[in-house]
Amino acid sequence: MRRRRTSCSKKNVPSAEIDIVRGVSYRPRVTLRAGGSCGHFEVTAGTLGAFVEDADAYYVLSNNHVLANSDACSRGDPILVPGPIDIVGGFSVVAQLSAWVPLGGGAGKVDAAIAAFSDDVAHFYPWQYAGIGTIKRSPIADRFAVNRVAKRGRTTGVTRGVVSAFDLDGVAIDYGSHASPRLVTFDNQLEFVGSPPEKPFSQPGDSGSLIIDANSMRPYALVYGGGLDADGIDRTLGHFLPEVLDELGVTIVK
Amino acid sequence: MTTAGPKPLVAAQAAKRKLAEAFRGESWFRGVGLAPANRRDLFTLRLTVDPSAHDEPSLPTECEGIPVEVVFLAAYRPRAGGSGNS
Repeated sequence: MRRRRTSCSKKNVPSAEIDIVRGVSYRPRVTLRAGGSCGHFEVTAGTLGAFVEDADAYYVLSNNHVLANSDACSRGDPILVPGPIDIVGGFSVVAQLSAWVPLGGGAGKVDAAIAAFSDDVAHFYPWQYAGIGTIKRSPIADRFAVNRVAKRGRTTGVTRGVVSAFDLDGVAIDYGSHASPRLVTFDNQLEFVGSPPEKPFSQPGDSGSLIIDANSMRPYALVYGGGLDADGIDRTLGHFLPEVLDELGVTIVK
Repeated sequence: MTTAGPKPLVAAQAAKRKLAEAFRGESWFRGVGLAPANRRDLFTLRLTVDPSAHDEPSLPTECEGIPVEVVFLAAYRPRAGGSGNS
Protein backbone atom coordinates (compact mmCIF):
# COMPACT_ATOMS: atom_id res chain seq x y z
CA MET A 1 0.00 0.00 0.00
CA ARG A 2 1.32 3.40 -0.88
CA ARG A 3 1.74 5.91 1.85
CA ARG A 4 0.84 9.50 1.64
CA ARG A 5 3.84 11.69 2.25
CA THR A 6 2.80 14.12 4.93
CA SER A 7 5.89 16.17 5.44
CA CYS A 8 9.06 17.19 3.69
CA SER A 9 12.07 15.60 5.33
CA LYS A 10 14.76 16.70 2.88
CA LYS A 11 16.53 19.98 3.27
CA ASN A 12 14.45 22.48 1.41
CA VAL A 13 15.64 25.63 -0.24
CA PRO A 14 14.84 28.68 1.93
CA SER A 15 12.01 30.87 0.74
CA ALA A 16 12.95 33.80 -1.38
CA GLU A 17 12.09 37.18 -0.01
CA ILE A 18 9.61 38.32 -2.55
CA ASP A 19 7.10 40.95 -3.35
CA ILE A 20 6.08 39.82 -6.77
CA VAL A 21 2.41 40.53 -7.08
CA ARG A 22 1.12 43.47 -5.13
CA GLY A 23 -2.44 43.54 -3.90
CA VAL A 24 -2.86 39.81 -3.39
CA SER A 25 -2.26 37.87 -0.25
CA TYR A 26 0.56 35.42 0.19
CA ARG A 27 -0.29 31.98 1.52
CA PRO A 28 2.52 30.21 3.35
CA ARG A 29 2.59 26.52 4.37
CA VAL A 30 0.82 24.88 1.47
CA THR A 31 0.00 21.34 0.47
CA LEU A 32 1.09 20.49 -3.07
CA ARG A 33 -0.78 18.28 -5.49
CA ALA A 34 0.18 17.38 -9.04
CA GLY A 35 -1.93 18.40 -12.00
CA GLY A 36 -2.70 22.00 -11.03
CA SER A 37 -1.58 25.47 -12.06
CA CYS A 38 1.97 26.65 -11.46
CA GLY A 39 4.55 28.80 -13.14
CA HIS A 40 7.65 30.96 -13.09
CA PHE A 41 6.75 34.43 -11.85
CA GLU A 42 7.16 35.90 -15.34
CA VAL A 43 5.14 33.35 -17.33
CA THR A 44 1.38 32.86 -17.61
CA ALA A 45 0.80 29.38 -16.20
CA GLY A 46 1.39 25.72 -16.86
CA THR A 47 0.92 22.51 -14.96
CA LEU A 48 2.80 21.06 -12.03
CA GLY A 49 3.43 17.69 -13.64
CA ALA A 50 5.10 15.52 -11.03
CA PHE A 51 7.25 15.37 -7.93
CA VAL A 52 10.83 14.22 -8.44
CA GLU A 53 13.90 13.92 -6.25
CA ASP A 54 17.63 13.50 -6.09
CA ALA A 55 19.83 12.95 -3.05
CA ASP A 56 19.48 16.56 -1.94
CA ALA A 57 15.91 17.73 -2.40
CA TYR A 58 12.39 17.26 -3.63
CA TYR A 59 11.43 19.14 -6.77
CA VAL A 60 8.41 20.00 -8.87
CA LEU A 61 8.76 18.94 -12.50
CA SER A 62 7.32 20.82 -15.45
CA ASN A 63 8.53 22.36 -18.70
CA ASN A 64 11.32 24.86 -19.22
CA HIS A 65 8.77 27.25 -20.72
CA VAL A 66 6.65 26.94 -17.56
CA LEU A 67 9.30 26.97 -14.79
CA ALA A 68 12.26 28.62 -16.54
CA ASN A 69 10.53 31.14 -18.81
CA SER A 70 12.04 29.58 -21.96
CA ASP A 71 15.62 30.18 -20.74
CA ALA A 72 14.92 33.80 -19.65
CA CYS A 73 15.50 32.97 -16.01
CA SER A 74 17.98 32.70 -13.17
CA ARG A 75 18.61 29.89 -10.75
CA GLY A 76 16.50 30.54 -7.64
CA ASP A 77 13.67 32.33 -9.45
CA PRO A 78 10.38 31.90 -7.57
CA ILE A 79 7.81 29.38 -8.79
CA LEU A 80 4.22 30.24 -7.94
CA VAL A 81 1.12 28.19 -7.26
CA PRO A 82 -1.14 29.01 -8.90
CA GLY A 83 0.67 30.35 -11.94
CA PRO A 84 0.62 34.15 -12.33
CA ILE A 85 -2.30 34.26 -14.79
CA ASP A 86 -4.47 32.27 -12.34
CA ILE A 87 -3.83 34.35 -9.23
CA VAL A 88 -7.10 35.69 -7.85
CA GLY A 89 -7.13 35.61 -4.08
CA GLY A 90 -3.62 34.56 -3.17
CA PHE A 91 -0.58 32.59 -4.18
CA SER A 92 2.33 30.69 -2.71
CA VAL A 93 5.97 30.53 -3.63
CA VAL A 94 6.27 26.76 -3.58
CA ALA A 95 9.70 26.34 -5.11
CA GLN A 96 12.81 27.97 -6.46
CA LEU A 97 14.05 27.20 -9.94
CA SER A 98 16.92 24.72 -9.66
CA ALA A 99 17.75 23.36 -13.10
CA TRP A 100 16.50 23.45 -16.64
CA VAL A 101 17.45 21.94 -19.96
CA PRO A 102 18.21 24.91 -22.22
CA LEU A 103 15.90 25.21 -25.20
CA GLY A 104 18.37 27.32 -27.13
CA GLY A 105 17.45 27.37 -30.78
CA GLY A 106 17.74 24.72 -33.45
CA ALA A 107 17.99 21.14 -32.23
CA GLY A 108 16.45 20.68 -28.78
CA LYS A 109 16.70 17.86 -26.24
CA VAL A 110 13.68 18.25 -23.94
CA ASP A 111 11.58 21.17 -22.73
CA ALA A 112 11.88 20.50 -19.00
CA ALA A 113 12.88 22.07 -15.70
CA ILE A 114 12.79 21.39 -11.97
CA ALA A 115 12.38 23.64 -8.95
CA ALA A 116 13.25 22.68 -5.37
CA PHE A 117 10.54 22.94 -2.73
CA SER A 118 10.56 26.09 -0.66
CA ASP A 119 10.11 26.05 3.10
CA ASP A 120 6.48 26.94 2.50
CA VAL A 121 5.60 23.42 1.35
CA ALA A 122 4.22 21.62 4.36
CA HIS A 123 2.87 18.49 2.68
CA PHE A 124 2.72 16.96 -0.77
CA TYR A 125 1.12 14.01 -2.49
CA PRO A 126 3.76 12.50 -4.75
CA TRP A 127 1.76 9.79 -6.48
CA GLN A 128 -1.88 10.88 -6.33
CA TYR A 129 -3.56 12.30 -9.43
CA ALA A 130 -7.15 13.21 -8.60
CA GLY A 131 -9.54 11.65 -11.07
CA ILE A 132 -6.93 9.19 -12.34
CA GLY A 133 -5.53 7.36 -9.33
CA THR A 134 -2.18 6.48 -7.81
CA ILE A 135 0.76 6.21 -10.17
CA LYS A 136 3.60 3.72 -9.95
CA ARG A 137 7.01 5.15 -9.18
CA SER A 138 8.99 3.77 -12.10
CA PRO A 139 8.28 5.14 -15.56
CA ILE A 140 7.50 3.04 -18.62
CA ALA A 141 10.78 1.75 -20.07
CA ASP A 142 9.54 0.95 -23.60
CA ARG A 143 8.12 3.94 -25.43
CA PHE A 144 6.36 1.67 -27.94
CA ALA A 145 4.51 -0.36 -25.31
CA VAL A 146 1.77 2.18 -24.57
CA ASN A 147 -1.61 2.74 -26.16
CA ARG A 148 -4.15 4.32 -23.80
CA VAL A 149 -3.11 7.24 -21.61
CA ALA A 150 -4.49 9.77 -19.13
CA LYS A 151 -3.33 13.09 -17.79
CA ARG A 152 -4.40 15.78 -15.35
CA GLY A 153 -3.68 19.36 -16.38
CA ARG A 154 -4.34 22.93 -15.33
CA THR A 155 -6.73 23.75 -18.21
CA THR A 156 -8.53 20.58 -19.26
CA GLY A 157 -8.32 18.64 -15.99
CA VAL A 158 -8.43 14.89 -16.41
CA THR A 159 -8.49 13.74 -20.01
CA ARG A 160 -7.94 10.39 -21.65
CA GLY A 161 -6.37 9.66 -24.99
CA VAL A 162 -4.30 7.37 -27.16
CA VAL A 163 -0.84 7.50 -28.68
CA SER A 164 -1.17 8.75 -32.26
CA ALA A 165 2.54 8.68 -33.14
CA PHE A 166 5.80 7.36 -31.74
CA ASP A 167 9.30 8.51 -32.55
CA LEU A 168 8.31 11.68 -34.39
CA ASP A 169 11.38 13.37 -35.86
CA GLY A 170 11.67 16.94 -37.10
CA VAL A 171 8.99 18.32 -34.78
CA ALA A 172 9.44 22.11 -34.79
CA ILE A 173 7.97 24.28 -32.05
CA ASP A 174 8.05 28.06 -32.09
CA TYR A 175 8.94 29.41 -28.64
CA GLY A 176 9.09 32.95 -29.95
CA SER A 177 6.47 35.30 -31.30
CA HIS A 178 5.17 36.15 -34.74
CA ALA A 179 7.56 39.09 -34.78
CA SER A 180 10.50 37.12 -33.48
CA PRO A 181 10.22 33.37 -34.16
CA ARG A 182 12.40 30.95 -32.19
CA LEU A 183 12.12 27.48 -33.66
CA VAL A 184 13.32 24.50 -31.66
CA THR A 185 13.24 21.08 -33.33
CA PHE A 186 12.85 17.83 -31.42
CA ASP A 187 13.32 14.21 -32.52
CA ASN A 188 11.93 10.96 -31.07
CA GLN A 189 8.77 12.62 -29.84
CA LEU A 190 5.40 11.21 -28.82
CA GLU A 191 2.04 12.51 -30.00
CA PHE A 192 -1.41 11.94 -28.52
CA VAL A 193 -5.02 12.57 -29.46
CA GLY A 194 -8.01 12.61 -27.16
CA SER A 195 -10.37 9.72 -26.73
CA PRO A 196 -12.66 10.38 -28.57
CA PRO A 197 -10.41 12.31 -31.00
CA GLU A 198 -12.71 15.34 -31.17
CA LYS A 199 -12.10 15.92 -27.45
CA PRO A 200 -8.67 17.58 -27.00
CA PHE A 201 -6.23 15.67 -24.86
CA SER A 202 -4.63 18.97 -23.82
CA GLN A 203 -4.93 22.72 -24.35
CA PRO A 204 -2.78 25.77 -23.55
CA GLY A 205 -2.06 25.73 -19.83
CA ASP A 206 -1.63 21.97 -19.73
CA SER A 207 2.10 22.16 -20.51
CA GLY A 208 4.02 20.15 -17.96
CA SER A 209 1.28 17.62 -17.34
CA LEU A 210 2.40 14.08 -16.64
CA ILE A 211 1.03 11.55 -19.14
CA ILE A 212 0.29 8.22 -17.49
CA ASP A 213 -0.05 4.81 -19.13
CA ALA A 214 -3.66 3.88 -18.38
CA ASN A 215 -2.93 0.16 -18.31
CA SER A 216 0.02 0.08 -15.94
CA MET A 217 -0.40 3.48 -14.21
CA ARG A 218 3.27 4.11 -14.87
CA PRO A 219 4.45 7.62 -15.80
CA TYR A 220 5.06 7.82 -19.53
CA ALA A 221 5.55 11.33 -20.92
CA LEU A 222 5.55 15.07 -20.26
CA VAL A 223 3.21 17.38 -22.21
CA TYR A 224 4.94 20.37 -23.78
CA GLY A 225 3.12 21.38 -26.96
CA GLY A 226 0.34 20.77 -29.38
CA GLY A 227 -1.54 21.91 -32.41
CA LEU A 228 -4.75 21.58 -34.36
CA ASP A 229 -4.67 19.59 -37.60
CA ALA A 230 -6.62 20.37 -40.76
CA ASP A 231 -9.38 17.95 -39.74
CA GLY A 232 -9.92 19.78 -36.44
CA ILE A 233 -8.21 17.12 -34.34
CA ASP A 234 -6.05 18.52 -31.57
CA ARG A 235 -2.69 16.79 -31.25
CA THR A 236 -0.60 16.89 -28.07
CA LEU A 237 3.17 16.51 -28.01
CA GLY A 238 5.00 14.76 -25.19
CA HIS A 239 8.59 13.97 -24.28
CA PHE A 240 9.29 10.37 -23.29
CA LEU A 241 9.63 10.68 -19.50
CA PRO A 242 12.81 8.61 -18.96
CA GLU A 243 14.64 11.03 -21.27
CA VAL A 244 13.34 14.00 -19.25
CA LEU A 245 14.42 12.45 -15.94
CA ASP A 246 17.85 11.49 -17.31
CA GLU A 247 18.49 15.01 -18.59
CA LEU A 248 17.67 16.49 -15.19
CA GLY A 249 19.32 13.76 -13.07
CA VAL A 250 16.23 13.02 -10.99
CA THR A 251 13.73 10.22 -10.38
CA ILE A 252 10.06 10.14 -9.50
CA VAL A 253 9.81 10.42 -5.69
CA LYS A 254 10.25 6.92 -4.26
CA MET B 1 2.64 -8.21 -56.03
CA THR B 2 2.49 -7.44 -52.31
CA THR B 3 0.08 -5.15 -50.53
CA ALA B 4 1.37 -2.38 -48.30
CA GLY B 5 0.76 -3.05 -44.63
CA PRO B 6 2.02 -2.39 -41.10
CA LYS B 7 5.45 -3.77 -40.27
CA PRO B 8 7.43 -4.61 -37.12
CA LEU B 9 9.37 -1.88 -35.36
CA VAL B 10 12.80 -2.32 -36.96
CA ALA B 11 11.43 -2.32 -40.51
CA ALA B 12 9.17 0.64 -39.75
CA GLN B 13 12.04 2.64 -38.28
CA ALA B 14 14.19 1.98 -41.35
CA ALA B 15 11.40 3.19 -43.60
CA LYS B 16 10.91 6.23 -41.38
CA ARG B 17 14.56 7.18 -41.79
CA LYS B 18 14.19 6.86 -45.54
CA LEU B 19 11.16 9.16 -45.53
CA ALA B 20 12.98 11.68 -43.35
CA GLU B 21 16.00 11.70 -45.64
CA ALA B 22 13.74 12.27 -48.62
CA PHE B 23 11.73 15.15 -47.20
CA ARG B 24 13.63 16.88 -44.37
CA GLY B 25 14.31 20.43 -45.49
CA GLU B 26 11.19 20.71 -47.64
CA SER B 27 9.15 23.80 -46.75
CA TRP B 28 6.05 21.73 -46.05
CA PHE B 29 7.78 19.05 -43.92
CA ARG B 30 6.68 19.10 -40.27
CA GLY B 31 7.84 15.69 -39.08
CA VAL B 32 7.89 11.97 -39.67
CA GLY B 33 7.23 9.15 -37.25
CA LEU B 34 5.56 5.83 -36.59
CA ALA B 35 1.84 5.38 -36.10
CA PRO B 36 0.44 2.50 -34.07
CA ALA B 37 -1.37 -0.20 -36.03
CA ASN B 38 -4.12 -2.47 -34.80
CA ARG B 39 -1.59 -4.97 -33.49
CA ARG B 40 0.68 -3.66 -30.76
CA ASP B 41 3.92 -4.85 -32.39
CA LEU B 42 3.16 -3.42 -35.85
CA PHE B 43 3.51 0.15 -37.10
CA THR B 44 2.68 2.32 -40.09
CA LEU B 45 4.37 5.57 -41.06
CA ARG B 46 3.23 9.07 -40.22
CA LEU B 47 4.11 12.20 -42.19
CA THR B 48 3.17 15.68 -40.95
CA VAL B 49 2.66 18.28 -43.66
CA ASP B 50 2.14 22.04 -43.40
CA PRO B 51 -0.95 22.78 -45.51
CA SER B 52 -0.02 26.45 -45.76
CA ALA B 53 3.38 25.88 -47.38
CA HIS B 54 3.80 27.41 -50.82
CA ASP B 55 5.34 24.30 -52.36
CA GLU B 56 2.90 21.67 -53.58
CA PRO B 57 4.20 18.40 -52.13
CA SER B 58 3.98 15.08 -53.91
CA LEU B 59 2.95 12.89 -51.03
CA PRO B 60 3.73 9.17 -50.82
CA THR B 61 1.05 6.64 -49.96
CA GLU B 62 3.60 4.06 -48.88
CA CYS B 63 7.31 3.62 -48.24
CA GLU B 64 9.12 0.28 -48.22
CA GLY B 65 5.74 -1.45 -48.33
CA ILE B 66 4.43 0.42 -45.28
CA PRO B 67 1.39 2.72 -45.56
CA VAL B 68 2.00 6.43 -44.91
CA GLU B 69 -0.62 8.35 -42.93
CA VAL B 70 -0.48 12.06 -43.80
CA VAL B 71 -1.56 14.64 -41.21
CA PHE B 72 -1.91 18.27 -42.27
CA LEU B 73 -0.89 20.53 -39.40
CA ALA B 74 0.54 24.01 -39.78
CA ALA B 75 2.40 24.40 -36.49
CA TYR B 76 2.79 23.07 -33.00
CA ARG B 77 2.98 25.58 -30.17
CA PRO B 78 4.08 25.34 -26.53
CA ARG B 79 1.14 24.85 -24.20
CA ALA B 80 1.55 27.35 -21.41
CA GLY B 81 -1.64 29.24 -20.57
CA GLY B 82 -2.29 32.14 -22.89
CA SER B 83 0.35 31.02 -25.36
CA GLY B 84 -2.28 30.35 -27.98
CA ASN B 85 -3.12 27.25 -29.91
CA SER B 86 -2.68 27.17 -33.61
